[in-house]
Amino acid sequence: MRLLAALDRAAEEAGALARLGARAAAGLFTPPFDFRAGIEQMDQIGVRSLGVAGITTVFTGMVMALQTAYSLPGLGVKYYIGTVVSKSLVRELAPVLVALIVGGRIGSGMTAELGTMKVTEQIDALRSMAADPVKKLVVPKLAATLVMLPALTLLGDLLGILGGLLIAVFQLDLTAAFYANDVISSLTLEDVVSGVGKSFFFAFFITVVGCHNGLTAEGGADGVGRATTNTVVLASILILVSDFFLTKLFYLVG
Amino acid sequence: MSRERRANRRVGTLVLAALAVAATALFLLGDKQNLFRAKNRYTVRFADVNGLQRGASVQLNGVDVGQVEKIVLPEDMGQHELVVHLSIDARYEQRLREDSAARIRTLGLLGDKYLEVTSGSPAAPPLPEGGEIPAAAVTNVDALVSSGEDLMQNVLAISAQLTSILGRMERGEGLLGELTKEMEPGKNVTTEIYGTLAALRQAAEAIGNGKGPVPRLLNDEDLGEKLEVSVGRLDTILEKAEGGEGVLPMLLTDTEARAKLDRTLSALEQAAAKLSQVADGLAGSDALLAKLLTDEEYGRKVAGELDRLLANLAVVSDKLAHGEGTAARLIDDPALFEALNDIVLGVNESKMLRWLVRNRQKKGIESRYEDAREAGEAPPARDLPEAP
Amino acid sequence: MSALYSVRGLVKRYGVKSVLEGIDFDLARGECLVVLGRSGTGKSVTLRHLIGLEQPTSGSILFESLEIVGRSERELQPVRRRVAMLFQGGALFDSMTVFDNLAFPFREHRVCPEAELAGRIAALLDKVHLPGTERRMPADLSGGMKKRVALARALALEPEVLLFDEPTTGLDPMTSASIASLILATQRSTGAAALVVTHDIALARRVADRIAFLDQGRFRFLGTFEEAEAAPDPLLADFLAGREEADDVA
Repeated sequence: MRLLAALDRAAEEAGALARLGARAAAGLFTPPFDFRAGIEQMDQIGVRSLGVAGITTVFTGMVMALQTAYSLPGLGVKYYIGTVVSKSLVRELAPVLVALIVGGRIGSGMTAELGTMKVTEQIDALRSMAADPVKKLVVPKLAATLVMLPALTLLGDLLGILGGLLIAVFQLDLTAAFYANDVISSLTLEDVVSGVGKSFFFAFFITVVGCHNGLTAEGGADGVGRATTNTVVLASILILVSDFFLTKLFYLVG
Repeated sequence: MSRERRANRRVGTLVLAALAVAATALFLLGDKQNLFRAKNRYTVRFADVNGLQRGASVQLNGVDVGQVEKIVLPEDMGQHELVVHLSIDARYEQRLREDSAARIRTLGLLGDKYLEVTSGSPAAPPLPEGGEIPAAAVTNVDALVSSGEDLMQNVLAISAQLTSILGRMERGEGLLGELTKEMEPGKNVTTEIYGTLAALRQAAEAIGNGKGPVPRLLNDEDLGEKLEVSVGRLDTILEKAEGGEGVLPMLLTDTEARAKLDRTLSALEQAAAKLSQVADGLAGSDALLAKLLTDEEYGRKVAGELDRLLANLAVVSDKLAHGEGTAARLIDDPALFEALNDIVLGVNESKMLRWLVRNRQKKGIESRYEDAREAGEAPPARDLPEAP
Repeated sequence: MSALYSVRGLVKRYGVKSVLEGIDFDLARGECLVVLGRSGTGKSVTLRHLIGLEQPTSGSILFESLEIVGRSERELQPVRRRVAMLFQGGALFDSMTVFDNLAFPFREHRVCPEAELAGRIAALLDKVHLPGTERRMPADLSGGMKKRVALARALALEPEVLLFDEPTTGLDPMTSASIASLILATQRSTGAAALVVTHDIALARRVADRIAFLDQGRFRFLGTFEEAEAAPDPLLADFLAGREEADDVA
């Protein structure tokens, strides 16, 4: 019985998320378009996250290079460092890690902002003035995340590959030209598209979860705090689970 | 609104940077895949594509020029061949002739499959767009690899053995080791062999020069004749032996006799051992023989007795000497007597010879019986007297 | 004069918890109805129904003879154009300046071009006695000032009905008095009807045309203040006098 109740709640939650997602997505394409709000959100979400995204990917690239070179020494793998680092980073590590780390920051920020508004009746005030909270608050955030997360992922790809280059040149005695050539010859456009494509989906999940948890927060500051934690957990799980399915999807399609 | 302007600027920078990365990727990677060049399409038919995948690269003379677009496995069971559709950069269309050949190869030993196309000769007519490139025979790398595996294992085994042999050689074990190891500083088996050869050469020279027994043998005719005679005698003896005369042939042919001879010899051995025992015994004993051997006075005494005895015997023998018959002869001829004595002693000692004698005796009695029967006389006693 | 609002049989339950068990009343144009009651009796819930922020479990709410119950957000837009609500904490958008807060309803409904906004907003701020505060952020304002800015915002589109949710709660008596004055002045100048939810007796005494006493999900009393004071209901008498509960009904 408890299980049924839990499943029931989960289903309700899932339904609410889906509906919010649909409304927000629809709101992206219906006028009026508030570009100011969008740009402002992009600044909040993207520019402020560049540092953490950059650090994440640079070090991941360096670690990948080190791990590959030192854990598989006998097979001459050193000469394939460029391939290994770029492929793994672009297809998987950059999109997922950036989404997890930046997404946690972004998502919880959205939940906190919207949750605070909810408990101080600002959302009700919006409604009472015939404004649609989704269009006014969620859509700009969604637009911003959909643009910023892939952008951060792309920049992260580059930074991660550069991280691998540092290790290749200074630790493994390869030349930059060799590494670069290896990367360019083994990386395909499909890899890049697959990675960036994934980050679009991740951006969507992060935003919808973050906003939904904020808009439905209850119980004052405490409630907002709980909602924020829930956002990070749920968004992370969604990212990791969808990553699997998206990986398959992109291999089928690309 | 400068706050807004600043925000705009930051966002714009980030987005432009990301777009720049995207554009670079498109440029660098897309070019490689000839996204922006015209492509010609061709087909190749294979019985087996060995794991070739869609998207695999197509190489012309080793250069990446295109990719596999589609591999079609016909649903119609009657069609045995797969059709591989590929696209090649249009720049190279002149190289594709009717005598070009396509084959499926592997990148490295364990890598992906790719399609290799050879340029055709200018003499052959060009292959039109959409045409079919003839397939070359498929080298089944898998078979090569597996036979290669056997080969590899054999090579490994052989090398292991070689290593062990070489190891032994290093340690000086085995024939090769012996040959090559140093026995003393500056010497090894080889030098020994050389030494031997040198010595042999010397010997041969010496032989040629006539020094030493061998050349004497070779050069001295007299000695040679003597040898010949000896050899002739030996020959006769051997003939006789082969002819079955005498004890020797019996010994040579009769294995049983030989076995018995062995036993005789061992008995003789035992006798000799006993004799030495006796001698030991005599060494410190008071027995007559010992005394004879050690006590001079006694010995003289006994000798004196013996002299007298002998004198008597001489008389007897004198007498006998004048008589006739075996006994006289026996007495007359001391050698014969001694020999017979020895034989009797020996025969007595030896069961085999005793048996032999009895056997001969038996044979003699039998033949006498036969003779007697033939002569009509009464059969003599057939039974042998009791064995002594 | 037909009633602006006609509420009949309003019932609201949250699961098994019952909040309103049949509310009936009318609100006439220009009338000020004060709903009194103890804390947590569902006064705010009643108010929220009138602007469609809550949907009743059953009952009917007519705004100028149009049924509000069961309408979508979009369908409620015309109602919300003409009815404004002042929330308990003011509910100002704390990421925006006072100016942007006040400009919000104008911009949202595209009432006038951007250039006109400054003048209109200044006028509104004057009305609530907060001139020159356009650049301030809500966080910098006191409780009373927040409520006044919120009132200014509510007045932006010249609504026909003003809904006040505990307008003086948490304010000192002097500030409360000034709020009471504002409510009266606004009503007089705009002719708007007002429904005030409060437990502030003094406020009720000053602004109410009628009062309603909400208890156990029903209006125990509905009439003028004088009638209330004269009513034989002991609970009401205790409430109006500010006495503590005779029996413990908790």
